[in-house]
Order: sequence, then structure tokens, then C-alpha cells
Amino acid sequence: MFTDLGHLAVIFAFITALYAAFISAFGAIRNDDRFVQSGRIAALMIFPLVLIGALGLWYALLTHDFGVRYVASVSNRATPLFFRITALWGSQDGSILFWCLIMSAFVAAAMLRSWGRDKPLLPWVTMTMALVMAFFLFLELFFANAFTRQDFPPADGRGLNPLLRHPGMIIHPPMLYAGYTGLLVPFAFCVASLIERRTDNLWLESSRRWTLVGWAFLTAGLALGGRWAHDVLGWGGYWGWDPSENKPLITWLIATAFLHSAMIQEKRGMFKNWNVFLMMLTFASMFFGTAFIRSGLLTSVHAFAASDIGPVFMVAMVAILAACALLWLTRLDTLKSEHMLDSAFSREGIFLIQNVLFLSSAFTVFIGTVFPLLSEALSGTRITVGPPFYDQVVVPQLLALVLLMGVAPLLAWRKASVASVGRQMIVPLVIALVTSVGLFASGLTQPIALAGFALCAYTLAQTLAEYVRGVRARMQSLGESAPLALLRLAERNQRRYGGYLIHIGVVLLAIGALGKGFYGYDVIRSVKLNESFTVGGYTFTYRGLRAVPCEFNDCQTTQAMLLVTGPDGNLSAVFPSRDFYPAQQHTATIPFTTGHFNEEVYVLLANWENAGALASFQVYVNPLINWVWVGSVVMILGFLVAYWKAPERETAPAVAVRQAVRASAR
Amino acid sequence: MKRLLLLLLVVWALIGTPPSAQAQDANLDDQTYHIAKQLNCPTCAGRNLADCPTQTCAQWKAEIRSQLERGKSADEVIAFFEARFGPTVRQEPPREGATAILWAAPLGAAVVFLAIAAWVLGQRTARSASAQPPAALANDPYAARLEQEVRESA
Repeated sequence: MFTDLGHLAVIFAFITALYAAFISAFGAIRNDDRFVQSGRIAALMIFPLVLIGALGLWYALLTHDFGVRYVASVSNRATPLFFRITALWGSQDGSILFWCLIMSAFVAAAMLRSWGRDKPLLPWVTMTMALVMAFFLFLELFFANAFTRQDFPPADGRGLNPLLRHPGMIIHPPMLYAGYTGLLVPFAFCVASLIERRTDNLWLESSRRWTLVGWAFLTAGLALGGRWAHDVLGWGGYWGWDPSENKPLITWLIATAFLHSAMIQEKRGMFKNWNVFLMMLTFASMFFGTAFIRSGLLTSVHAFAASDIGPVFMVAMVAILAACALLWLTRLDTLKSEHMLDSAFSREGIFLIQNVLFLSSAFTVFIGTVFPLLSEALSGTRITVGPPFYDQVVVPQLLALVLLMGVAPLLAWRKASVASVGRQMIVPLVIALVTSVGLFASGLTQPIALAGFALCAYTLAQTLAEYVRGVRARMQSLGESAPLALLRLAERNQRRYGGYLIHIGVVLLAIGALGKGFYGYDVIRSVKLNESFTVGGYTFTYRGLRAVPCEFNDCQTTQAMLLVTGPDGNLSAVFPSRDFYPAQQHTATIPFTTGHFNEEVYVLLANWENAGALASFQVYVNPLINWVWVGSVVMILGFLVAYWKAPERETAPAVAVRQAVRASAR
Repeated sequence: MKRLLLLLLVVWALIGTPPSAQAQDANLDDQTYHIAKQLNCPTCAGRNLADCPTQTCAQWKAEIRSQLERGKSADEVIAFFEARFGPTVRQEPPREGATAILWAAPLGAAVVFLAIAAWVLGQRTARSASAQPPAALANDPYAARLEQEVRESA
């Protein structure tokens, strides 16, 4: 009963969204604030309505109402409370409802903000967000209805997909959804600004914090997805270039390009055109990726069942692209730059190159992701694009971006001086050189890896030097102590120093990726009971298999025990296991890790014969992989520093003055 | 500076251990594993054969092993799978034929993007040679305050 009420609420939410879109546009055209306010309130109401819908479905999940098809497909009587709650986004239909819930929360938050000087944008922002909202509610209601009842309820459900029973998988989808829908806000502002034919930076400035939030959620979602893959999929890594990983990555790359080039528009009034293009591309990539993954056109480890929402998505996609292109092309005259580029050797110039790199990386990932479909259309055979392609083509571009991170902060706006930039590069370059020589001396001879580590050392040193310079300046001019100076420095310019902290996170992540990529290795070893094998200084002795109780009683778990003697003589034990789920006919290999912080040893039970008389194990040695997680956390910390409080807005002329003063001081 | 050096030392120390274990005896297990790493799994989407635990994959791995036992080389084994299941089985797409597009496209795109950027940079710079300096700053209160602050701290 309560579930059907939820269904009804979602239908109302859909109607409300359509109404909000229509009445806002009507109010804007008629220039009548009453209609605009009505639209605002309607858009605000979508959230409570969708929430009632979600509560309805939650109720069905909690009460084991297997008469609801979705409930039967994602849970059963043995599913514990926690997973019954998270099963709301455990499969296609429910996850679209959950997506709607998060999106409507963002819409409501945007409606509740104080609009003040953004008032002229309000109706069109409302219209854009309500339309996107309506589309997703339409999908939920007509193509992926989680409330659908079945005539003959089964006695028990099928249970949650075993792959999804991991904390990383529980938090990862909400993070990604929040990331995408967070980026919907700046998109709506962008559209509104174009419709209003505005020439100023209002849309950028007013939505900047939303963009940051969306970006941060996307970052966290990607990191958690990596953690989940590492812990659950049993492939020893954290990133497999799977379509469902690539899709948020493409959006992340474009959004990151946007975050940077938006700075140029704010400071210098340039690249307006470009920023609109990037914002639209960000949104389109989100939509496009979702269409491909959700429709089952591209198979992925997530394995959402193939469904018929593909064509709907495609139609909507074409409509959105056409509308965006039309809007953009008819407003080109309002998007003229306020300034000319003074020199290619400037912050603006390097940002442009960096933008190009971000876009070409995104394009590369995109082409690799859709190539299976493309090749099928072109030649009839479906070519699978595995990690080797991405490693060879995308990774160099990403490394080039790491280098730019170490150069861009040195270049002044408008025109940088070669001498000054060169001077500031000396110390970090020396550090990079010392690092590579040191690494070479200690036995690392792989030239690309050496270059990569040198690059990371350089950029890390350069970024830290930015802090050092700032702190030292404050200590000298204001007599502050070092910690206080650091605090004040970050407080005074959160965006900049938060941004640098994010850069540090990226470098740490790159160090982890290089370590794992170039020096990680894995072997498979078959051993008899009580026999030993050695991998990278670790000696493993196989002590037998045993059946252990499965967590939720719906699988058969076989666990192996191996004694491990580390290179330092320390004794430990690992228990890799395998879960077999008869209901889903699914096997999961559950890794067990040992080693130390800088060298993870990841053990999998690959196979066994004769009730465990013979067993084979896959052992991955993953040097530095933990820095990937550390880097991700640092990136989020950097975001928090940048976001914490609204920073003082610097106007373009003020920046010019500061530079003039700085130049005269030299 | 100290902190920097410390970090550097850490990075250095971490990567210090050379992967000597890689030089293990290349036994049949390893060869099978190595070949399986280069093939796509027919049943686990998005994973290579070596990492996939399904029955079908176990059969494929057994096939690789038995072919190796019969004295076939790694290339021959991969060619066998490719002949049977098409180019889709390879992790790394071939670089000839229709697939060449895949490898060429990113390069082409990067060149086009860079060309556009170079054009924008060149053109804008040329035009700005005769452009006006930025507008007067006198009326900006923020700029005035900044100037004052700088003067005070100097």
C-alpha cells in the first residue's frame, strides 16, 4: 500500500517537473514573477515527492514485499537490513529512482539558495533542471519502473548481486550520481545565461561552488569505484578501463578542464565561448555515457541487464545536443573575449594547452570505450579494447598533464618572463634529477618509469615550493610563525592553495599508478598441500582448504590458508577465498592482502583439485598501490580547503594591479 | 626544504626494491598465465582470461596449457584463439585493418586540437600586438585596497 503511494508520488513528481519547466519559461517570457515563483516552488516540490517514492520502495524492501518485482530481484529473506536499504540502487530500475532522488535534492537546494543578483537566471535555470529531472522521472516511470508488481509473488527473492556487497559499491554509486547531478547545476546556469543573452560571467561565478561540489563527488566516486574493483573483482588492480569506469572518467576529465578554463574567464574575461562549449560537453558526456552503459550496448563488469532504455536515451541525447548547439551558435556574438591573449607564454596560454590535453585524453578514452560498437558497425566484428590500448595512449597524455601542473603555477597571467620562470624551476629540477639518479642507482632502469618518477618529483617539489614561497613571504612581511602563516595563506586564498593540494593528491596518485604499472607483477603457482613457493621475497606455504560459513548463507565459501614468511622474516597468514553463489551461478574470488604499506601482496585462490590436495594461487605484488588511495584522499582534502568558505572574489583589474606591483618590485 | 627532502627520501626508499622475482623459471603455469593475460574472457565482461574464475575460462586455460604441452609457441596459441573466435579475443587490439582507426584517432585528434590551440595562440597574440592596454583600474575599490596593502607591507 505504502509502496503504491510511492509510485503515485513519483507520477506526481513527473507532472510537477513538467509544470515547473513550462511555467518558469512562461513566466520568463511574460516577464511575470508570479509564474516564475510558482515554477520555483514546483521544482522545489519534486524532492519531497521523489523522497516519498523512494520511501515507498524502501518500505517494500524492508518488509520483503516480493510482490514488487524489483524487490524480488535484488533481495531475499536472508539479505541483512543494511543491504536491503542499499538495494534501492542495487539494480537498474531502483538506481534510476535513486538517481532521481539525488538529482531532485540538488534541484531543491538550488531553488532554496538566495537568488539575489542571479534573479534573471532563475526561470531558465528552473526550466533546464526541471526538464532534465522530468526526463529521468519519465525513464523511471515508463521504462524502468521499480514499482511494477508481479501477479505471482515468489516465496523468496533472488538476493543482491554478490558483486555489490561491498562498502565501496554502496557509497560509490551515490557519489557518482551526486557528481553528475551536481554538474547539472552549472549546466543549467550556463543555459540560462545563454538564453538571456548575457555577456557577463555571472553564470560561472554563481555556479562555481556547485561545479566544485559536483567535481569532488565525481572524484570520490571514481576513487571508491577503484577501491571496490581492487577489493572485489580479484584482478589485483584498481583500474581496468572498463566502460563503467571510463564513463565517469570522461566526464571528470572534461569537468576538470572546465574548472581550469573557468578561472581564465573569471580573471581575464576570456575563453567565454570555450567555457560554454566545455560545460555543454560535460553534460553531454554524462548523458551519453549513461545511455551507453544503461542500455546494455556496452558490456561492463557492472553488468546492468540489457534493457530497452537505449533508444529513449539516444533520442533525448540527440535533442539535447541539437538544442545546445543551436543555443550556442545563436549566442556566439555574446561570448566575445574581453581581452586578447597577450602572449602564448602565459597562464592563459598554458591553460589552453592543458585544456587541449584534457580534451584529447577524454576523446581517447571515449573512442576506446565506444570502439566495440564502432568496429561492429564498420566491419561487422566487435573488437574489444583492453587496458593495453589505454596504457599506451592515455597514460602519456595524463603524464603530460602532471608536467603542466608543475609549470602552469609559475607562469604569470598575460605574459610570463622566461628568466623568472626558469629561476623558479631550478630547485625542483635539481630535485627531480637527484630523484632519478637515486632511483637509477638503486636498480630502477626502466626509462619511462624513471622519467615518470622524475616528473612526479619535479611537480611535487614545485607545488610544495608554492606553499613555501607563500609561507616565507608571510613570515617575512608579517612576522608570523610558519604554521600560522600556512594557515593564513590557505585561508586568504583557498581556491589557489586548495587547488595546489589537489595537485599534490594527483601527483601522489600518479606515483602509485607508476609503481603499480611499471613494477607490479603477478604470477600463478600450483602447489601441493604443505608445499611452498616464493614470490618476490615472500615465501608462501599452503596449509589446506576449508569450507567456512558464508556471510549471508547464500553462497559456498572455500577458504585457503597459507603461511607467509616476509622478506624480513616476519611470519603471517593469508586466507584468500572463493565464494560460489548457486542462485546466480556466480563465482567471486576474494583476495587477501599482506605485505607492507609500500608493497602490497595480493593473494587469490585461483583453483584447486582433489579436495584441496593441489591448489593454485595468483599472487600480485603491487608496489606503491596504496599511494593511489592516499592521493585520492588528499584530492578530497584539497577540495575541502578550496570549498570551505566562499573566498573573496578578485576582479580582473585587481589581478592586473597585483601583477603590476609584483613586476615593479622585481 | 626539509619536508621536501624527507618526502623525496620516502619516494626513493619505496621504489628501491628491484623486482628480482620476475626472473622466475618460466614454467608451464607461467606461460599459460602469461597468454591468458593477453586474451579476453568470453564470460566475464571487462576482464582478462587469467583473472576470470568461471568454468568456461577454466576450459580455455586448460586448452592453452595443453597446446603449450604439445609444443606450440605463445604466438601460435594466440593465433589459434584468434582464428577461432575472431580478433575480439585479444586484449590489445591489432594495429592493422579497421582497428588502425582506433590507434590513429587519438593521435589525429590530438594533432587537430593542438593545431587549433596553436592557431588561437598565434592569432590572438598577433592581434593583441596592436590591442589596447587593459581598462583603467582607478575605479576598482578592490584594486585600490590591494595597492594600499602592498604599500603598507613593503
